[in-house]
Amino acid sequence: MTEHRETGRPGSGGGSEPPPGNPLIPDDGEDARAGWAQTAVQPPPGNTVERLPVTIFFSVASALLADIVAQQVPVPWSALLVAMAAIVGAVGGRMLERVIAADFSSATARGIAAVRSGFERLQPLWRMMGPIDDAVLKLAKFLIRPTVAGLTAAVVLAVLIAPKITAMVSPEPECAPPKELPVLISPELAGQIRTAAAGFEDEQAASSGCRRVHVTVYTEEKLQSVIRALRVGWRSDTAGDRLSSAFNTIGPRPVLWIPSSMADVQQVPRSSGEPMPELRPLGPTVWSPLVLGVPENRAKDLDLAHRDSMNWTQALAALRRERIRLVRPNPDSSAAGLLHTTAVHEALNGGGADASRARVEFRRFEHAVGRSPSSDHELLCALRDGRLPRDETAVMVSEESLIAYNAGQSLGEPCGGAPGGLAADPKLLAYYPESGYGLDYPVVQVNWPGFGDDQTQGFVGRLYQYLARNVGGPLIGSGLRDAHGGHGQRYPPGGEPPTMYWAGNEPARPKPESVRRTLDEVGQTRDATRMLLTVDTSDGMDAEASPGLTRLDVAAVAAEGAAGYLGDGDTLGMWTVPGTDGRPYTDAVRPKKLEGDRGLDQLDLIRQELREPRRGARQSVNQAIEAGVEDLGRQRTPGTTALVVFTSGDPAPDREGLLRVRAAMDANPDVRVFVIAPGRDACKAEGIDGLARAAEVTCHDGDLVDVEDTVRGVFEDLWKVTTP
Amino acid sequence: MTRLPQFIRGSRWFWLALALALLVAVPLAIVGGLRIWERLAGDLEPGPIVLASGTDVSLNRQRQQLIDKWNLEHPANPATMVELSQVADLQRSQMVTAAQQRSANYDVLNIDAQWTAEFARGDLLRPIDETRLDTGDYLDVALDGARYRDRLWGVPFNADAGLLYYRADLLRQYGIQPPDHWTWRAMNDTWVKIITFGRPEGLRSGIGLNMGAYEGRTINMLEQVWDAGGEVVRDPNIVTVDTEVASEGFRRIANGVEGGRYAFIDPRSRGWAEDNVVQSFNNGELLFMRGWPVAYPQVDKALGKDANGRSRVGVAALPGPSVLGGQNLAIAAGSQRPKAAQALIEFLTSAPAQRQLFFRGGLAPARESVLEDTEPSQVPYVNMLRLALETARNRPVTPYYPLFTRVMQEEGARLLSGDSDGADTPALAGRLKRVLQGG
Repeated sequence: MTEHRETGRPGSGGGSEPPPGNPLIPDDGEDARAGWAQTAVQPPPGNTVERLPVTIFFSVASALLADIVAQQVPVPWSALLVAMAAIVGAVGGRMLERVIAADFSSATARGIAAVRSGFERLQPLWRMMGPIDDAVLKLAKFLIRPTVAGLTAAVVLAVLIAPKITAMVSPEPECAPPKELPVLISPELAGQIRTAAAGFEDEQAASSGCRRVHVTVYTEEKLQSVIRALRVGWRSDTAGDRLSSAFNTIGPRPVLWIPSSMADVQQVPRSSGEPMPELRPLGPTVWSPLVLGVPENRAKDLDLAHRDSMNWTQALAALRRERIRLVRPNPDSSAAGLLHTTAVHEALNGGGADASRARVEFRRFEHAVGRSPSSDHELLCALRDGRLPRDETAVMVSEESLIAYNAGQSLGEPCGGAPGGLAADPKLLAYYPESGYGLDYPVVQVNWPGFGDDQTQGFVGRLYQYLARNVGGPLIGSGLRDAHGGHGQRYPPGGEPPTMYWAGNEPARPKPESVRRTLDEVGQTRDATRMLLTVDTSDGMDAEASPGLTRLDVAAVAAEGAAGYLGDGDTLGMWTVPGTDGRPYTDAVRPKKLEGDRGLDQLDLIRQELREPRRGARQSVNQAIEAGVEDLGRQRTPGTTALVVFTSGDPAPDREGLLRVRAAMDANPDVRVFVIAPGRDACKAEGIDGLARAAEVTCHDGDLVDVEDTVRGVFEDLWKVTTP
Repeated sequence: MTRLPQFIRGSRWFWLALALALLVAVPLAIVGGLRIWERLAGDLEPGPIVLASGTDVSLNRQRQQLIDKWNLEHPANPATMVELSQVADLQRSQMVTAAQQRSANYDVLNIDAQWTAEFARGDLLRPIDETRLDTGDYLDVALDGARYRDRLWGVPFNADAGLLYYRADLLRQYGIQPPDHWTWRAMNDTWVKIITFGRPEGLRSGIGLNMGAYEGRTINMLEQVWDAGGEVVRDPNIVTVDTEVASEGFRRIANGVEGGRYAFIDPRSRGWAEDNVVQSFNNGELLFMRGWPVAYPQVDKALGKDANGRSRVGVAALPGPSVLGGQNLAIAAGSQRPKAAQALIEFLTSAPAQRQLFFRGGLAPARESVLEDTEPSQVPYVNMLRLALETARNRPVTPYYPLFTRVMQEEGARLLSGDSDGADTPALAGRLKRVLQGG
């Protein structure tokens, strides 16, 4: 080693000069070192063995990197790419090794020599550097070429896969997507809660700069649908729920529910454990007293304004006297309708009135107001567009709805603002009868058994606190009061209710038992309905009725909707066509009286049957109609009896069949027969047209968009209720 | 006996090199071989697979029929489809909630293309194993919409693009020759000409747009800005809405709904979804409508033929690029059977399946080969679909898309209600910048 230092040291003056271009090359030494040096300068033929490690290193590195690339391409190309990379690596390794390593090693040597020449001026030190120099040379000799070759290969391939590497190493966007909070609310509050939810999201984002929570606000008008969905755990996440699963018909499982009133919550059957969630009321959000809205131009006639107080008994008497029609939302589906009715019910029972007389009065009231429409928004919408006579109709609604109506504002999804956004004419005056109630829009936390997380719970709590804190903001901007009943109330332009009598500011809520009693009595005052659904499930129902939906699909939705109209005390069953066991029908769900949970079970059975109906070849429904009318007619029970048939009328019944249907209907005049034909203008089908003309069957048709109206039309006709 | 060459016999370097090579090559070969074997053998994890999707609106439930077919061929991996809401936002909410709260066992999610980035960033998805998928046949624009940070997170299930429908019979009646390419100006002029010469009975407005408070409003706003030559967001998520041309796009909306009974854009558009627009067009209330290709059979049937047997409906490309509609099938992060899930995805997006969904179900394919092979005799509107897809563009690919669309919809509400004339784009740009940073 010493001789190496001495002979190879350039500029030392003590030995021969190194060959030009490579000052590191010794003039003697070990074979390997000599071979390495010769390779670097001028590779001798056949001396590839020494370069083999470099080549192998390069090819393996190439292959490994190619394999990374290959992760993103199909299998055959992957294998080919790896193989090609190995070959390219081998060849390239040899070439680069010759070209680059030589240059690099000479440059390194020159650098070392320059440093050393500096040291040479300090001879004593230089002597000490001898062994170090030798070690550096050895190390460089051993590592430079493989390292350079390998790194070069890595750089070349890294350039090729730069986009993927960039994607892998660049940081993710700083903010993680927000936590999702599905919130189910009463339709009346849709706009306000959406605005408030956006404010809550902003507030939560303020501290971190990242959006931490995303609130999806959605509505469901039918309270009974919500109750049913809660009862069955919103449906398990299994297939087969098609068009009747709450996931499909309502939306996601809510973590928060804001119904119109605690009375809605109290209607959910109490149960523990799966699948029902725990409902935890957190508190009210806002308050809207229930009012009697009277056309401004008729208020004088009622002669109520000058009174010190007014109760429902007086108001009903005045309305009857002036022949002003009173309309109320359906108490089965509307909290406003239910709480108004409870107040009327208590008023009629109060003051020591005779119980039987009170029942008669209540029945009279029930028959006067009917059971439709389903919400106060829908009711006011009918008033706005003239389906109800504006000058002759008084309405039982919430103050918030009345204000929106007067101001010409939107009344929910199906009923936008008044034409031109003009205020109502005539406006409605708000009367506040004594002992009236109001809507408190409670925030109810929904804890689903088996899942949930602390973060979600935390956001739910904070959202409620935000709503409670901000009732003075967006929530009451359109006429709602704060939760305490009246402070900070603001009105939209033109929406101020000219209050004729204000009974007090204190929010009042009925006792749960009073609400239940009212619902019972409402049920008793109307005649029980006995209904047999007959659904044509044959091939004739395969044609399209709505985009993407067959007639059978639409019929299933309509049949389920019809079943939803019935409640405690009613009787319901379902047949399907084609028939079995030699009968022209299949007794799919045997008729049963609906009472409490048994009623809900019966509805579930019908839904189940509609999801997986028995199919078969086309068969005319006329024989089933004939059998259904006779069957219903045999069981003479008080109340209303109806056969509702869902069919496309294909194939058309023959003349004899029609005559037999006609004869059965003539023999059972109390049985009403309705046909619901899925699809637009489907009543014009030959088979149905024949039925309608020969047997005087009433037909209603419509596609999926119209299905609710179609079904409602049947019940309005059947029950002869108020039709807005 | 063959003698080894001299350079081998005497070289310790050779043996050292050989040992090194074997040390690296053998494990590599084993790992690589196993991987290739795994890919080729495709052993799927046994057990059921749950596909969460919006309502199956394909005619006669073609999606379900494909699932049934899968189940016949793969008894070890029976698949079921859970149908969520028809409303896209509610589908999304349920899928995100289910993943975040682990309240459902979904394996495959059928997600709207614009949500892919959000789901990927939120660790709600597993990336697609591209080595098992031949992506060459999918529409590039659809694949781009399924990528986030250069990884593929979903496979395009169907792709769609908007079209301009018009009342060809009224144009003929008024002697107006439809141009080769409609512009917004030409549409306005046509409307003015027709109402000037006497409005036909029942005709209420120039055009109906699905601009209710949902995704449709965002789509129409993007298309108007693009058509005006502007951008709302440019790659990579740079907000460029604060320009005069972008304002011009918004102004068209603000001005279009003004004018009472002469308004070019039907004011009811502010509450309309696709169905409402189609219904109104079918009722003869609109001169133009923006619609998806799948609406063609319905409007063609509803409006029927004129006395000379010609269709009353004309169809053309939108004046500017259309937003690409469509959905991607993705593997849920919580899936216990990711290979089986991907296998189901590959099955549902295969060319035969896409063909079935297109021909029998009315769902536009995301595969070029299916589009190219389809004749108008098989799908009457296929040429229009090709036309629309040629220029279709993705919505911004951002994990914060739900916020982006909300801000856009709020701005749209201001335009439609007259609270904004479209000029205040700097303020909108400020909001969008915050949104695209997740704030």
